[in-house]
Amino acid sequence: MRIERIDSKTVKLGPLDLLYCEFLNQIRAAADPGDSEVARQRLFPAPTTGKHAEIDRDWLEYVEPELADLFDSSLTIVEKDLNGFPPHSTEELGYSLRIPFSHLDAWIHALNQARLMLAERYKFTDDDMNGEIAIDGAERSLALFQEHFYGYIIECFVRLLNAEES
Amino acid sequence: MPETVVVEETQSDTLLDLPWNVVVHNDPVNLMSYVARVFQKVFGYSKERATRHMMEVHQKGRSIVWTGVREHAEAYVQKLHGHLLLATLEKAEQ
Repeated sequence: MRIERIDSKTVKLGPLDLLYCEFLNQIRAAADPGDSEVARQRLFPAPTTGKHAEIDRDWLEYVEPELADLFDSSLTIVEKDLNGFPPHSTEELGYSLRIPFSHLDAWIHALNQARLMLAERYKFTDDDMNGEIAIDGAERSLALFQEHFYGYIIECFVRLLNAEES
Repeated sequence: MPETVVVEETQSDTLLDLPWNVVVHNDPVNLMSYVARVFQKVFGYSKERATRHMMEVHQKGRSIVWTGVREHAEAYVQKLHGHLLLATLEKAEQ
């Protein structure tokens, strides 16, 4: 798989096999904290961790809704870019996805949120994050692979954005 | 008709409130390149300064990335949370 800027307005990911396509289509689901309070706390941490209750209370009331809207807007952009992907016809060398360069920040955000929630859901440790992925067929191992896949895309997108701005 | 209450922030209030630290904490998920980029974006830091703070977070577990008045510190923490960084607000030791 390559991630490259093919013109001033477009970034192309491909070729992507069906597993990678599925990972991309799972971004919103992966990014959802569900009913886990720990995961929700990671998305919306209290700014003073209880040391200044008034600030934390105000934050909960005024800032959290704004952050929730911001997070949702990124996921919505990604969902729209993925609408109808992958197409029904199989391309010879796998599928390719084209996304607007101007959407990279939203993609980075959505992928990052998905990584954080996967890490919370599966309790990934530092060793998990930095070590090799066990090939044991376990759901947790596949989720770690998914998390690394998202991380790889983020790294490439950050480099493209940094190159644009340098 | 509800009475409108105007609360003015006085200079002494602001001075007494100084300073607050914006602290970023390490987490195993956010990529180093991403964290450095966020510091450049949010604070306008140079690549070198942003990388220095990022490395401090990575190696020491936390970095004070900005110090100043509470109102601005809160705005910075909100921006950092918007980028999903673990950031907190704390009163600087006098």
